[in-house]
Amino acid sequence: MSLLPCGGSLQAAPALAGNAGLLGQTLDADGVRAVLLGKKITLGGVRVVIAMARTGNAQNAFLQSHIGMTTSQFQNHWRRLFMTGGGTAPKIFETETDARKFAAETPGAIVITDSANATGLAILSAN
Amino acid sequence: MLLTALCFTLIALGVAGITVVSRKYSRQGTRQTQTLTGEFLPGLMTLARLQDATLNLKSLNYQFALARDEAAMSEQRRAFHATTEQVTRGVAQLKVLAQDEPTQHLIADFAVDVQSYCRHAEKFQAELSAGEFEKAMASLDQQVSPAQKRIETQLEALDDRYFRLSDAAGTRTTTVLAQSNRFGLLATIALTGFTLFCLSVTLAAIRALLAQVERRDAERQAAQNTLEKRVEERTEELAASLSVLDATLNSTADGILATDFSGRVVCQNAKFVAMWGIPAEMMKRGDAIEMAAFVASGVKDSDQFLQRIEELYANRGEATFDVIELVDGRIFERYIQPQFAGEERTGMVVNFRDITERKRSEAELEGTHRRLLEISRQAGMAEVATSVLHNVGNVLNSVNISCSVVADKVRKSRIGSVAKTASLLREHAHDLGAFFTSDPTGLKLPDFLGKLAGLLSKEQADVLQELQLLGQNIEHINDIVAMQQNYARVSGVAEIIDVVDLVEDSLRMNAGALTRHEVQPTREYGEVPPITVEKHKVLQILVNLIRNAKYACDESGRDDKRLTVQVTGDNEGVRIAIVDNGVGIPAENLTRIFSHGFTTRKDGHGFGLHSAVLAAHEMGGRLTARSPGVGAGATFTLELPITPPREGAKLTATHAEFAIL
Repeated sequence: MSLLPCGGSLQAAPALAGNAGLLGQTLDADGVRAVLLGKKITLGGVRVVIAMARTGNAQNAFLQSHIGMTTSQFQNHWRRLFMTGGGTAPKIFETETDARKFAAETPGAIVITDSANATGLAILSAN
Repeated sequence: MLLTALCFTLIALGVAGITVVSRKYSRQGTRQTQTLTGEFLPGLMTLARLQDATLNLKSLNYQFALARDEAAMSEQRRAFHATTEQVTRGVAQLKVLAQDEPTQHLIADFAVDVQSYCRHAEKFQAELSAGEFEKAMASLDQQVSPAQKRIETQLEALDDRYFRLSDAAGTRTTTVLAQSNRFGLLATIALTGFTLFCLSVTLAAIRALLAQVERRDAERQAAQNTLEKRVEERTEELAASLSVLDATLNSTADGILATDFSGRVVCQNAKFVAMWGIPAEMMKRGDAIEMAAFVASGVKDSDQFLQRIEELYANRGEATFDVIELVDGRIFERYIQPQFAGEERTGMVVNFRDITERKRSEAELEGTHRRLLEISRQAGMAEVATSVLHNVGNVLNSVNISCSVVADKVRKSRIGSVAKTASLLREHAHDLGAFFTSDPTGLKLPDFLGKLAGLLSKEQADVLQELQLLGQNIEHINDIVAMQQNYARVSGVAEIIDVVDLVEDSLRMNAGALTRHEVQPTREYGEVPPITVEKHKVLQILVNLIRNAKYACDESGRDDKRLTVQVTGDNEGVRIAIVDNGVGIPAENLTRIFSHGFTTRKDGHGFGLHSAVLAAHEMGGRLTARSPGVGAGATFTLELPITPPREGAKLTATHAEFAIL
């Protein structure tokens, strides 16, 4: 896993990024799946907080490719999980930028974003 | 039967009463049941559905939260909305059913809470849909769950209230039904018992009625037999009666004709045919009109006779009587009597009686009567004369006594003492002075002369009084004679007099006799008005009554001979009662004491009281006698009017009238 500086010139691709505090944490496909589906709720001893935009192409593509869900399905999954006490519900933001900003500022927060935009975040898993 | 009718009437009244009371219970039960089934049970059911729906809402809300995907969420949302509408309808239905205000308040509060819950739930769902899980969670914790709690609380309150109301209504219904059942049972038992009693009474009454019918049937049969026997007997009696009637018709001295109003002769007797000389052929035809025309030819006033027959037919035989004079001098009386069949006049019976001989006898009797009247008047005059002589004799007794008294007083007069005194004075004429001053006789002479003068004066007064009484008696004799003349004229001269004065005069006229026979007169005079009367008649009566009372007292032989004269009166008249305590009058004599010639004294004439009662009646008064019996005295009362009766109204006294007084 690598910490990409903001505005890096990496090829754009959806990736799961996290707060800089998670730097060094690497998630494989199962790990991503476990984290996104709420089965793994800590990373590096810190409770995971998922930040998401209300919609977004990269987000859709990442979720589809890793857990086979659309954003809406993902939210429904987490709604049911949240309503049954299965985990802390993801934070939903209007834009991906807002979600990234929250992830950058919140320890344990992760966000799906285009890797090209993951400036200041730690890339945990790429598509 | 009356008892049976009464019993069944009571049964009917009992049934009616039970029906009324049962209806009342039924109405009460129906009301309670309607309340229970129409309000509380639907309310409870609606409430149960509401509880179910609200639970469903809660469930749907959670199912929405747990929906797998958007489609499921949409489905759950639709279901939530549908359930919300169901709850709203249920609330509306509860509002309609609720009758009491507290329940309506509870329902209104519940409706508000339901709306609040739905609003919060929808917000929660929207937040969940938007992925705002924390907001949704906050809404769930802070709004949805409290709203849900309030709904449940409201539902519990409503449920509790409905259960309490239902329980109360059910208890009331049960109570009413129990009362109704108890009443029905008791009433049925009572009515059944009474009905059985009535049936027993009815059966007994029917048996009695049957027995009575049988008895009456037997009686009716017996009565019918008796009646048939009576009819046979009556038929025989009727035949005998007809025979008697026929014999009677033909044996009577009167001519009898019976006709109906169609002018047919019903029957007649032989005397009728003979009286009118009706031909046999005419009798056979039996035409009453033809007979009337025939007999009218023998009547003096034939037109009036026929007119009268027409009137009789027109008036349908009204009961009348008239007299018919025939041209041959005979006189017939005609009596007409209507004949009835029930209340309807069917004809008339005419009775002719030949009264020719009777009329002649009546004419002779009238002449005889007139002669008898004249003779009676003459006899009456003789009676009056006898009465006058009797009264004159009575007064003459007083005159005789007065003369004897005067003669006796004159014989015993002290006038001889005057002559002796004169002789003595003549003897002492030469020495009168010495005689009067020294002679013992002369000394006593002045006193003697004084006493003598007093005695002579008294003698003179006594003689004068007796002479005055004598003069009154003589005047009374004159009055009696004059009264006799009045009797002869039948009328007298009435004058206004004071009754008490008249009574005093009569006592005075008998004063000597009363004194001699030691009869003590007592006077009890009341205030009476003056009366207009022939005073000598009254005087004659009173003198007679006082004299009789004196005799009665004298004959009793008692020492206390009392005669009381009472005078009372008013505006109608006066009453003078002569009461004595003499020998009295036996009851059998009271009825004839006023009859002419009746007397109980040896020397009596039996005319005094008779003439007195005659005089009383002539003056419009009356004289009555009362006595408790022999030895108990008697009371004679003379009643006189204030004014004499009119001349025409004066009673004409006869012996028969006085005999019964």
